[in-house]
Amino acid sequence: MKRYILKRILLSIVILFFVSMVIYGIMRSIPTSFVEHKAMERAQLPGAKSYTEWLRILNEQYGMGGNVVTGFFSWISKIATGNFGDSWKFTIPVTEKFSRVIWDSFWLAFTTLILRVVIAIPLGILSARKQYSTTDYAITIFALIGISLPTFFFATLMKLFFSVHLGWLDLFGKVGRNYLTLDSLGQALDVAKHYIMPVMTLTIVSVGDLMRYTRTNMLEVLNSDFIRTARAKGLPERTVINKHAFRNTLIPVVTIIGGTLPSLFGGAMITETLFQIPGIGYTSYLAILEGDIPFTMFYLMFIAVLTLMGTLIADILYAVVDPRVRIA
Amino acid sequence: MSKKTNAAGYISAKESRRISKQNRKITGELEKRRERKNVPLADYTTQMRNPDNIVEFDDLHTYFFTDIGTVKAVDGVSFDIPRGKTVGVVGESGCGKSVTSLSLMQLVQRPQGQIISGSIRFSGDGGVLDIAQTPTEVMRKIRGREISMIFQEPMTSLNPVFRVGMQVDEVIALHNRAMSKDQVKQRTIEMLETVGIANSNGVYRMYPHELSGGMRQRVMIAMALALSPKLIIADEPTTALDVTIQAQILELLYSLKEKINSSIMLITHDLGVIAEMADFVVVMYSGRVVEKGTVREVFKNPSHPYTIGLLNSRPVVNQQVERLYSIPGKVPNPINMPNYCYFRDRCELSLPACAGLYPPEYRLSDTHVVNCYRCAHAVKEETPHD
Repeated sequence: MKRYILKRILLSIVILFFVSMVIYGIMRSIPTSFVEHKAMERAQLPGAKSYTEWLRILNEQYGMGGNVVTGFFSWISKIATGNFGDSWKFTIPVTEKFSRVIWDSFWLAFTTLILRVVIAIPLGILSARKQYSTTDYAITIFALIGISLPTFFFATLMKLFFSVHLGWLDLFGKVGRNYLTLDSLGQALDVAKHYIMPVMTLTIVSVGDLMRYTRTNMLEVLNSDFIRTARAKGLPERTVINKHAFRNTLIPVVTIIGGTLPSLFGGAMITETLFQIPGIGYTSYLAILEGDIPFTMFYLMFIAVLTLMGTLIADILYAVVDPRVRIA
Repeated sequence: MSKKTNAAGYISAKESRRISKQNRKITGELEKRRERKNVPLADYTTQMRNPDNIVEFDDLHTYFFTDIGTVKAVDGVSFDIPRGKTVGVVGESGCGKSVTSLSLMQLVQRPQGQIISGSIRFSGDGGVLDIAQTPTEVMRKIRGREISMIFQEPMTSLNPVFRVGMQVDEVIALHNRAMSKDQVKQRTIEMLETVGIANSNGVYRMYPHELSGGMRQRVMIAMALALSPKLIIADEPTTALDVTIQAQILELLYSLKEKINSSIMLITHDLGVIAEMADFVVVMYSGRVVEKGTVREVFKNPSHPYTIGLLNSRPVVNQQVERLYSIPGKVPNPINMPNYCYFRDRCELSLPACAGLYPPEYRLSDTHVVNCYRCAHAVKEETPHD
């Protein structure tokens, strides 16, 4: 198992190299250029140098003089020494900005994950046990609505309902206007209150697929021979479902959840933007808009690392829950 | 039943919806009846017709309500399993052998599968019960302890994520609350040794995928026999195993059965197995019993054309044949069966009388019963004995 994990990690490094190559190429090719934008701005100031002059100067300052290939290699050689550079937009080191905003995203995603698991798995099992019943159809319709409709739709509905009509929650933002006057407990509660709508939005859209997945797997397991064996032993239905069937349903479900663990740090770009939660998603959205190459590269590479970690964790968890795939 | 059903058996979506709606209504009512609480004991206790029997199937009907129509998987099956004897149930795939045994365990896939009528009388520790009416709670105490089952697929019948020992422990501990963990484990290891597993301590800690098919079937047998049940249902226990292991497993099953003096209901389509193991034979065809009797009677004097066909289609040692005999035609579609002899269309010996209703039972001897008009004359000669 150790050798397997080591092999996977070494392979990941190769994959990351090519991923970075592709995204750097894309970043350099998109029409939004931070340098050109800045040059345009400077050139329009009264008594300024011409646009081309500014462009030359800024290109030199930001190290964008060469072509894509030389740019990529100079970027990656810096990365190799652990230096991710300064963010152009935020004018502080990329890693510093990142560590300031990541925890907002994490707590948002973590709460969502817990709610998602707590809601989706029992509903999926219930739905499978009562296949084709009214309960099953009701749960399925609920799940499909969640899967099909986009986050901004639910976010808007919720804002209309909870903020405009009822006035219980603020429309957006992470803290209320009297945040600074509160004590530390009050501050925590204030943030929690502002998290309610984003978490609900994210939960509604993510609960459906896990629930459907649980249902499908549970149905498959419930029809297998060993469930009949368990019943033939005289075990109560509760034990049959919660022990024999559930443990087998868990195999694919755990891999799915395990695979999503790293994405807890990935941020929810749309939801964070809609509610203006200053997490990693919202921050990178601002960075991408202005063509901030160091920050965007860092964010996209970070997402790539998370994805690779996700699959690795999923594979390791597979071995944990299913003795058949344990590698000697 | 429906005008729109065409020859190929396809039905329109509208028809299918109508059927599934009707099915839900029927199964819903049956489920409600099954799930009611506090069923009075009198509702499911009964008397055996013959106290020497352990199980009596009496006109059992188990139907499956599918979206394309009702499948009469078991349609009026009656036979007895005497105490300490082995009853072999033969028939081709889909003739209802397994469903009969699953009905006895109340393991038919619900809610589609339902026992519609008839009774299964079982003489257990808690008196004589009619399993067709017994509530699930009571049934649970019988499963595994008084009636246990060995399935045909040892590869998939053990739970892949639990250790073998734990799975055997589970059934012992479940029905013996007083036993300590160590006692249970000791009993499991003892059982594993009894079924011929040499490295019982090692196997106790193994997962099912680490064992071969024959070993897994041994584990299944250990699990089934751990509580010395009164009746063992062996549903094609050797079908998935290779020939050399088959004989070992059957031998083992037989010797253990003798040891704990239980009855076996042996389901198979291997006539050789029946000849060797069984005392009585029940031949099933399309959800009905067509012939039953002692092994000697059925093998020496097969009287139903289907039984004759079955016996003709088996290879005989020291006899060269170009092609083995096979019964012409195929099994009829189990949906919407007409009320005439189901074997009529494949029968090479049919009589004018076969055009009529389903043939009644004709008794050739005390134990030998045939559902065929060809035996209509025989019964008259034999009647004085009865």
